[in-house]
Formats: sequence, C-alpha cells, structure tokens
Amino acid sequence: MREFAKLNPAVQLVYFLSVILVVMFDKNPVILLISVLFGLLICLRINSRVFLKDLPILAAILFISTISNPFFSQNGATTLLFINDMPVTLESLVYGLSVGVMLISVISWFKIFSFTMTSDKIMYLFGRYFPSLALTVSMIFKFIPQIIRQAENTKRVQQALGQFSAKSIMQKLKGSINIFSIVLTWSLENALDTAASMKARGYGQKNRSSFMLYRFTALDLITLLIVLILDVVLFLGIALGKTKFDYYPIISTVDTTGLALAVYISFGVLALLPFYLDFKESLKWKYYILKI
Amino acid sequence: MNKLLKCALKTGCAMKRIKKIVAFSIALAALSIGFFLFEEQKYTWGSLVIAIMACLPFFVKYENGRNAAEIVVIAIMTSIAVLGRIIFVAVPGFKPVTAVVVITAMYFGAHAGFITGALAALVSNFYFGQGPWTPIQMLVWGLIGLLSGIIALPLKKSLVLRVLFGAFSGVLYTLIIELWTVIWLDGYFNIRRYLTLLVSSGWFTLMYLVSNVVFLLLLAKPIGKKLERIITKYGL
Repeated sequence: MREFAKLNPAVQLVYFLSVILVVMFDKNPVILLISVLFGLLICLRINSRVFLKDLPILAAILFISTISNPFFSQNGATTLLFINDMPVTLESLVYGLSVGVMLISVISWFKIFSFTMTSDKIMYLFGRYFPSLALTVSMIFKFIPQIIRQAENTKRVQQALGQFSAKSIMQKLKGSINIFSIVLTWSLENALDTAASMKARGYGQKNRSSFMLYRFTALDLITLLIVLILDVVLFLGIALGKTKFDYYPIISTVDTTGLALAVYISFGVLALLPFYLDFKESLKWKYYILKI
Repeated sequence: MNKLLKCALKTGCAMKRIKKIVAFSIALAALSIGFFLFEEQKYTWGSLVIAIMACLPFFVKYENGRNAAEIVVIAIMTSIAVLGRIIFVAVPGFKPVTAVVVITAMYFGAHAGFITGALAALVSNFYFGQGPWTPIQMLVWGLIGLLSGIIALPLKKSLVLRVLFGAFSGVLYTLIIELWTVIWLDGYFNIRRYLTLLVSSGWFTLMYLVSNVVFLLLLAKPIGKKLERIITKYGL
C-alpha cells in the first residue's frame, strides 16, 4: 500500500471509485468474495493489530445480518422451518449472508480508502474547484487541535487562580462551562483577526495561484491506464448483466462463461493492484541487495 | 423573454447559464448511467447522486461569496461541532453537533447553517470513518442547518420552539438515515426492515433527541450572546 499511496491522488481516486462502486452495488457472490477477501487482506497488511481488534465486530455483523434477514423477508422457495408461523427460507438466509459480506467489504474498503486518501489529498483534488470550501476544511483541521490546546492552557491558568479546587461535581461542571466560554470567545476573536489578515493580504483577489505538491509521472499514467482498461471490461460486463445474480425466489447459478469470467478476473486484478506496486519495489530492493 | 435575451447577450450571464446546463446534464448522465449499470441498486445510486447534487448549489454559492470573515466563523463553529462529537464519543448518540449547527444557523443564516452542518458531517467522518453514508449525513445535517436558518427569528424568540425543533431534528436524522440504510441493503423500501431498524435504534434516537434539546437549552443563550457580540464588533 505504501507505493500506491505515493501515486498521484487523481489516480488513487479513480481506483477507489471503481472498486467501491462495484463493492457497494454488485451483489454477485463471486464479486463479493473477491472484494471481501482482498479487502480484508489489504487491511491486515496495513495494520494487523487493528485488524484483529475489529475481527469480532465484523463477525458479529455477518452473524446478525444472516440470522435476522428471515424476519425482514419471507421470500424464497425453499422453506427450512417455521418460527411462529413465519417461514424461514434458505434464500432469505443466503441473502442475509450476502448483505453481511457486502457490509464487511464496504467497511474494509472504506478503511483502506481513509488510510490512503488522507484529507490533504482530497484537498488537493477538490481544492481547485472549491477553493473556499477547501480553505474552510483545512482551517477546521487546524482549529481542532488549536482549540484543544487553548482549552488546556485556560484550564491551567484557572487552576493557578484557585478554580477547580472544589471537589463537587456541580463546581467542576461550572468550571468546565467557564473554560468553554473563554475558549469560544478567544477562538472567534482569533479567527476574525485571521480573517482581517487574510483580507489585507489580498484573499479572494483574482489571479492567485496555489501550491501543488503532486506531479503526474509516467508510473501514474501507466497505473491509470491499467485501471481504466480493467474498468472498461468490468463495467461493460456489469452493464451487459453478466454479473446479475438473483437470490429470490430461487438462488440462481453463477455465470462462468467467457465475459463473466473476464469480469471476475479484472475485478480481482483491480482489487490487488496496490500489492503489485509494493511487490515491484521489494523486488527492486532484493535485486540491489544481491548486487552488493 | 426580453430578460432572457438581454441575459444571453451578456457573456458573463451566458457563461453562468451554460455552466448550469452542463452541471444539470452531468447530473442526469450520472443518474442514468447508474440506473443502467446497477439495475437492482438504482435507488441507492440515485439517492447518493441526488444527495451530492443537492449539496452542490450551496457549495457553489459559498465559493461565489468569498468572504474571509464568513469563512473563519463557519470554520470555528464547525470545529466546535466536530470537537463535540469527539469529546462525547463515549456516550452513544449524545452529541452536541446538531445544537451547534442550529445555533450557527440562527445567527449567521440558512446558508451558513447548511455549510456548517454539511462540513461537520464530512470532517467528523475523517475521525469516525468515512462511508457511503457520508453524503447522506452531509445532506441531512445541512438541511437541519438550512431549516433552522429559515426559522431563525422565531427560534431566537421562543424557547418552546427551540426545544421542539431540537427534538424534531433528532427524529428527522434517524428517519432519513435508516431509510437510506434500508434502501441500500435491500434495493427497495423494505418496510419491515425499516420498522425493525427504527425500533432497534430507538435508544439512539432518544439520545439524539434528548442531547439536541439539552445542548440547545444549555448553549443557545451563551453562544448566541457571544456570536451577537462578534457580529456587532466586526460588523458582519
């Protein structure tokens, strides 16, 4: 994932849009399996501790989603048993399972998305079209730690002045409200000073440029082309209904003819794309070590 | 007709018109492509495209405003809303976010309210996890801000209305978010799942409702006084 994160943010965005769209909207079991396995695999590589911590939650989502679905839907031809005259069908259970897998997959892929597409990259992508909004968001990211720091300072000053010595909860609450009020006034005044300073330096004038950190390299172009070619196969197949899969009333069989197979393979290749870049770098590293 | 002709003659105005038409066609194209591609999930796709498209006019208007003072005030109020969500992370559902959005809208108007709500959703999800729900949350919190900006005067005057509006926005939030969840999971409006979700998230809804009311009661006057002072002092 490290090498992939170094690519131009535009390429990363196209990649994530393609993967997440398919993961969110396609309920074909093969696509679901590929997305959930590779999604979890990449999550494991990014941070194995967090992955292990999240695993029970993901398992719970899968379990609840499967066993609760018969309550929501009594469709399906194969009735397994009745609970209080309510039919529990095989199709309904399988649909619940597929929804659970989809949820896990979406959660994992959005985790990968958040890990790779940090807020500065999103800023870089959309800042050109929405400069004021981008400025506001980057100010918010600066204000949040600043307000926390100021609140801590204010608390220390208040303690030095003898506040907070009382132990009762009401007194403490009063002290906290006091600090909140002080910090709010300070932040607003401070921010409006910033606004005055911005105005004095010509904010909002035309013909101002902004600093861009990212370049578009040959590697970016190649990666983008690969993603786009895979996308064409993938979305063409989806548009032609090759991944269409019915859960009700009878679970349909998975299409494994030519184009459907091509769709699965291109989705698999796409989902593991971040790995190849890392793999290439590690090969390079081994090669240089051998040369020594 | 005359007005239209005059408008067409002026290039600036014509450009704006062209931009509007282009934006509209992109929206239509996005909608129809999604309908074509993901037939079974067309409502999920449609709702996401519409949520994003509904936010866009407010964002575009914000870009055209370009007022440094407005930008910093909105940034501060959004930071406070996001901080509130972070500070109260241990208490599920009990969040001051909506209250802060409503108060901002009361003093800086409907448009600022929408932007604060939408940005609070967007930025706080960088801390709590982005997901397909982000555009929907942005729209709902934005709309709560917009609404409270429209009825700002009565909200400022009447304590009862503030309490009612706080409760209303708590319920509205759950109703819309769960509606979207159902459409995403089932591809259609599965009323049984919707009702079950509403019942199972009943505790959260109650907490949203109570926290909105409590924080509006606690914060509306003190924050309002400070905002009014700032407005007078800096002539906003």
